[in-house]
Amino acid sequence: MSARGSARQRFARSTLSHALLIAMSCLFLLPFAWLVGTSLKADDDVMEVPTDLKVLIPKGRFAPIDGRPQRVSVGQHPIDYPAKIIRWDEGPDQGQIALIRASEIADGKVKKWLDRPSGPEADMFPVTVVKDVLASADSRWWRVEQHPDALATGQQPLWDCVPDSNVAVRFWPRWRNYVDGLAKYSFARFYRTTTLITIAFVFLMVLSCSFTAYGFGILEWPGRNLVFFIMLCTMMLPGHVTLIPVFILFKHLGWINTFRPLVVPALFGSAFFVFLLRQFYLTIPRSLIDAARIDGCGELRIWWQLILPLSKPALMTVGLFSFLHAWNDFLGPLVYLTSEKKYTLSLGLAMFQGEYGTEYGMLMAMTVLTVVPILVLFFVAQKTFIQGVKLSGMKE
Amino acid sequence: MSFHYSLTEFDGTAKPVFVGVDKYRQLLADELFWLSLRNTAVYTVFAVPLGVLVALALALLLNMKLRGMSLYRAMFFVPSVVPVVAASVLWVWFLNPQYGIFNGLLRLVGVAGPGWLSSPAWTKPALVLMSLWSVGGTMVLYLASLQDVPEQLYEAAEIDGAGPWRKTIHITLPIISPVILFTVIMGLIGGFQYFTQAYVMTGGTGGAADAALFYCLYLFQKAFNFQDMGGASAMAWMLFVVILVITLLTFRVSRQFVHYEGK
Amino acid sequence: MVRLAKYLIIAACAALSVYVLSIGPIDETPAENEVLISVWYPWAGEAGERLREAIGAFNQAGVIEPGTSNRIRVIALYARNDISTNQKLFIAIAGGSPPDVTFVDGPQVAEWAHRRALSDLTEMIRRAGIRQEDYYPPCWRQTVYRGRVYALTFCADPNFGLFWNKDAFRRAGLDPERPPRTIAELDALAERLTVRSGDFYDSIGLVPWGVYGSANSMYTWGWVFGGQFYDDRADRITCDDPHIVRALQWIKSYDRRYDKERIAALQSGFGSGERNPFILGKLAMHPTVISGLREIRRYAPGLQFGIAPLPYPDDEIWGTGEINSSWVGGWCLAIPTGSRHPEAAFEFVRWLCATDEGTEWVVRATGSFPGMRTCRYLRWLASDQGAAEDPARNKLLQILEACKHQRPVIPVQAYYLDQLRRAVDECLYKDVPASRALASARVNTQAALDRARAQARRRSTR
Repeated sequence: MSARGSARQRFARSTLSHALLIAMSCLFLLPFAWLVGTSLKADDDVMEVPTDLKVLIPKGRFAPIDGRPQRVSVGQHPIDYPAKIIRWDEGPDQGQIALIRASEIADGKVKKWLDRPSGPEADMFPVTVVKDVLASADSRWWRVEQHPDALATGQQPLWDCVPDSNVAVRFWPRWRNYVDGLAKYSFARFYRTTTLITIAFVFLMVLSCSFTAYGFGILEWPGRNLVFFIMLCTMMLPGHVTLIPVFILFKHLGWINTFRPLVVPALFGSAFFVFLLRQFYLTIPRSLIDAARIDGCGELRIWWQLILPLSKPALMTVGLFSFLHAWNDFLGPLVYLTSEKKYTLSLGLAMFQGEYGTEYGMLMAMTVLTVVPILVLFFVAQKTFIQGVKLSGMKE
Repeated sequence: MSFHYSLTEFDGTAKPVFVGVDKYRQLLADELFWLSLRNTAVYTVFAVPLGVLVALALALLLNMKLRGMSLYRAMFFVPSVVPVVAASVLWVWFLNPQYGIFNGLLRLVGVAGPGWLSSPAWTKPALVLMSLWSVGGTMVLYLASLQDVPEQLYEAAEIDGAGPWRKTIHITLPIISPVILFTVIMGLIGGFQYFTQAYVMTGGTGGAADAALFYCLYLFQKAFNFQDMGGASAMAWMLFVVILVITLLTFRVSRQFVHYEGK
Repeated sequence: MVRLAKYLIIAACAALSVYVLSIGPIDETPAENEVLISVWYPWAGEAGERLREAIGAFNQAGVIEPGTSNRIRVIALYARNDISTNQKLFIAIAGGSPPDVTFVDGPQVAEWAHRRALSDLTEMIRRAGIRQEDYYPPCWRQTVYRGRVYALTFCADPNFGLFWNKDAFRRAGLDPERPPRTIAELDALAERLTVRSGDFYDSIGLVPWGVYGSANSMYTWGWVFGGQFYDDRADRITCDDPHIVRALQWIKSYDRRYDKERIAALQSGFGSGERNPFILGKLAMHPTVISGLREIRRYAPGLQFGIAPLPYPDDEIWGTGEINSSWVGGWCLAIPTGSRHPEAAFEFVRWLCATDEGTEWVVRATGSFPGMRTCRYLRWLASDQGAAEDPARNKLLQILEACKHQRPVIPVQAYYLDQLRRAVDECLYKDVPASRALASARVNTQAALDRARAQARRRSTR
C-alpha cells in the first residue's frame, strides 16, 4: 500500500464520515432548532403554516403606519367592502379602535357591532372616524403591536388597515420572550432551587450506587445474584401505585413541602445505576483486586482508592444521568412541594401551559434556559470521557 | 402494600375492601386492558431494537478520531437532555399536521404528510420517532464503554488483515456486550413502562381511537381518574410479572452473546 | 494540589447536601392575629393572574375568621386540576395535607364527594344565609351529592351559543342575519359554507365532533336531539337512548363529507388565540364557550359575528329535539376534608361565590358568568342597560337562564366522560355503528356506577 494511496483513502474516508455526521446531526438537531427558533418568535409567528425551512427563522412583519414602520400581526381576510376605522368616544369600548362597514355609520354614531338586530337609539354611540378604507382586495385589518398610543397590555391592541403589499417580512428575534419569561414567575429562583436539589441528589446517588454496586460486582457472597435480581425487580414495578403509600409515609415523617422526599431516596441508590455500575465493575480484571487484597487492603480502601478512580467514566455517566433525572424531575416536585417558593424548573415550565392556550414563545424560551446548563455540563464532562481512564495495564 | 391493594376495591381515600382476585378477573375480561397491552408491546418491539441500533451506529461513528468530534457528540446528545414534558410539547407541535415543520418538509418533497398524532395509524410511529430522537443517553453509554476497548486488540486485528466490519463484529461488540445487554434490558423495562410522553402528548386521554393508550397510561387513568386503585395495583403487579419474565428470558438468551472480562 | 481540590469539592457537595436536607416545610408563618389559608387554582396564564388579583383583593378586604379576631390571608398556589390531571390534589387529600380551598370542575364535585374528599358545606351555607334559589338550578344540582352540598359554584358557562361568522355567510351568498334554526337548515348551510381547494379546506361550515372534545360534543348534541344521559330516579345510565343514538348518527353523517385528518389539523388551532379557526374565518359556525368572546374581542375585533341558540332537529329523519338546548359548565369552589381552617376557608369561598364584589372578580378573571343568579353584575347585565352595552353577553345570559342540563351528577363522572369519548371515536374512526358504541358505553359505565353504589352502601352499614 503506497503512502499516497493510504493518505487519499484516509482523506476520502474522513470526508465521507464528516458528511454523514453533518447530515445526521442536522436531522437530530431539527427539533431543537425548531425549539430555539420558536423561543424567539412572537405568538402570531409561532402559528404559521410551514412551507419551507425558513419557518425556523423568527420573523416579524412590519408595515409603515402613520409614517413609521410598526410591527403588525394577524392579518384578517381582505377588506373588500368600503370601511372606516373609528374610535369610540363613549360607551364601554371608549378609546378603542374598531373597523366597521361604511354603511353602518350614521350621523357620527355607530351601533355596537356585537349586535342584536335593530335596537332603540340608545344603542348608538358617538365615534370619531380615524381613517377611510377603500374597498380593496389588497387591504387587510392588521393588529399593530407597537404604537405611540399603545394601551397597556391586557387590553385591546390597536388595529389598522394596511395593504398587503406594504407589509414587509424581516428577521426579528423576540428577545422579550426570555426577559418576560424570567420575570414572570421569578424563574431565577427556580434555577437556584433546582441546582441545589440536583447537586445534593447527584452527590448522594454516586456515592451510594458505587458502594452498592461494589457489593454486587466485586465482593463474592452467597446469594448475591439472587438479591441483585430482586433489586432489579424493584425497577419493574410502575411507580404510580406506590405513590400514595409513599406519600403517607413522608407525611408522617413531616417531610411534605421539604426537599427531603426528593433527595433522600438517592441515599438508597437506584437499581438502574447499580446495575450499570455492576456491569462496569464486572469488566475489571480480578487479578487487580486480588493483588490489592494480598497487599492487605480492606474492602473499604479497595473501594475508595482503587475502584472509584478506575470507574471514573462510569461514575461520570451515573452522575450525568442522575443530574438529568433530578434536573428534569416533574412528578416528585409536583407531589411533594406545596409552596411556590420551593418550585423547581420543571414545575415552572408547566406554569406556562394554560388551559386557555399555551404561550409557546415563552415556554420554548424557558425550555431553552432549562437545557443550557445541562449542555454546559456535558461539554465539561466530555473531556473526562474522552481522556478515558482505560483499564490500567493488565493484559488478558 | 400495593400487592395488598390489588386484592381490594379501593378508591384511594376510603378504606380498602377485600375482594380477592376479583380485580384480576375484571382486568382479564376488559378489552381495554388487552388493547393497552398490545399497544405497549407493539411500541416496545419497535422502539427498543431500533433505539439500540441507532445508538450503537452513532456511537461507533462518533468513536472515530475526527476533528470536531466533541461538537458532534454534543449535538446528538442534546435532544435527550430536553425535559420530557417540554420535549413532548415540542414534538406535538413539531408533528402538527398543518403547522408542524415535519409535514412542511414532507410537503417540500411532494409528500402529503399523515395526521401523526391525530391519526390512529400514525400515532405509534410518531412516538417511536420521538423516542429515537432521544437515544443520546444510550449513545453516551456506548461511547463510554467503547473507551474501554484496548487499542492493542484493534492493532493486532489489523495486522491480521481484518477490515473495519470484521473488527466491529468480533472485537468491539463482544467487549461492550455487557453494556448492550444493560441498555436492552433498560429499554425493555422502560418500553413497558412508557407513560410520560404519551400522557403529555394526548392530554391524558390515550389519543385518537386509543392508539396511544399504553399500559401505564391506562393504569394511571384507572388509579386517578376512575378511582380504581385496586385495579391499578393489579395492573401494576401483572406488568411486574410480564417484565420479570421478559427480563429473565433476555438474560438467558444473553448468555450466548455477552462476555464478562472480569470473570 | 489537585488532591486538595478534589477533597474540597467533595466536602462542599456534602455540606450542600446537608443544607438541602435541612430545609423545613414551613415557608410562611402567620403574623399576629392572622390565619393563613391555602388556595389551589388550576389555571396558568392570564386567567391565573387575574385570579391572583382577586385573591389580593380579598386579602385587602380584611375578612375576619369567624369566632376569632384573626384576619384571613390567602396564599395561592397554581396546581393543575382538570378531569385528567388532578394528581397533586388527589394525593394531597389522600395523604392528609390538602389545601384549604380548591377549585373543582363542576362535574367532579359528585365524584370527589363520593370519595369523601370534600367537606360537607351544608351547615355553613345555611348559616351564611345562602339559598338554593340564589343559584341557577343546573349549577346547584352539580354541587349537591346525596342531599348535602359540597361546593359553591364559581362560574357558570352557558354551553353553547352558536356563533356564526356573518362575513362568511355573506361571501357564500347567504343572509348574514339569519342563523340556522333547525338541524336541517344547519346541514344545508354547512354544505354551502364548506369550500375545498386541493388538499386543504379553505373554509368549513361546521365540525360537530369538534365542540371541545368528543365527549362534550356528544353531550351537546345529545341534549339537542332530546336525549337524556342519566335517569336519576332509576339511577341508570341512558346514553344509548334513541335520541342520543340519532345524535351520534348525525355527527357521523358529517364524517362522510369531510376528510377527518385534514380537519384535525385545523382543529389544532383552537385555544391558540389568534389562530382559532373561527376567528380566522375558516370555520363558519361553531358552538363557542363564553371565554371565546374574549378571544374574538382581542384578536379579531373586526369580525362580524352573531350568537344564536343551538339549532334543534325538527323533521322526519332526525326526530324532534329540544328547542334552545344548552348545558352548564364551569368550576366550583370546595373545601377538602382535612383542611385545618374550614371556617376561614369558607369565608373565602363565600366571598368569591356569593357576594357582589367577589362575583364581579369572577367575571373579570374568567370572562364567564358567576353561578349566583342574584348577584349585582348579572342583574345589571339582564337589564336594558346591560343589554345595550354588552349585547353578546346578554344573549349568552338568556341562554343560561333557559338552561336545563348539567352533566350527570354521579360518582363515576370521569369514567363516563371517557366512555362517551371512546364511543364517539369508535364510531368516527372505526365505523362502529352508533347504537353499538353507545350501548357498550352504557354497559361499562353502569357497571362502574353499580360498583360505586355498592361501595357507598358498604361504607354506610359499617
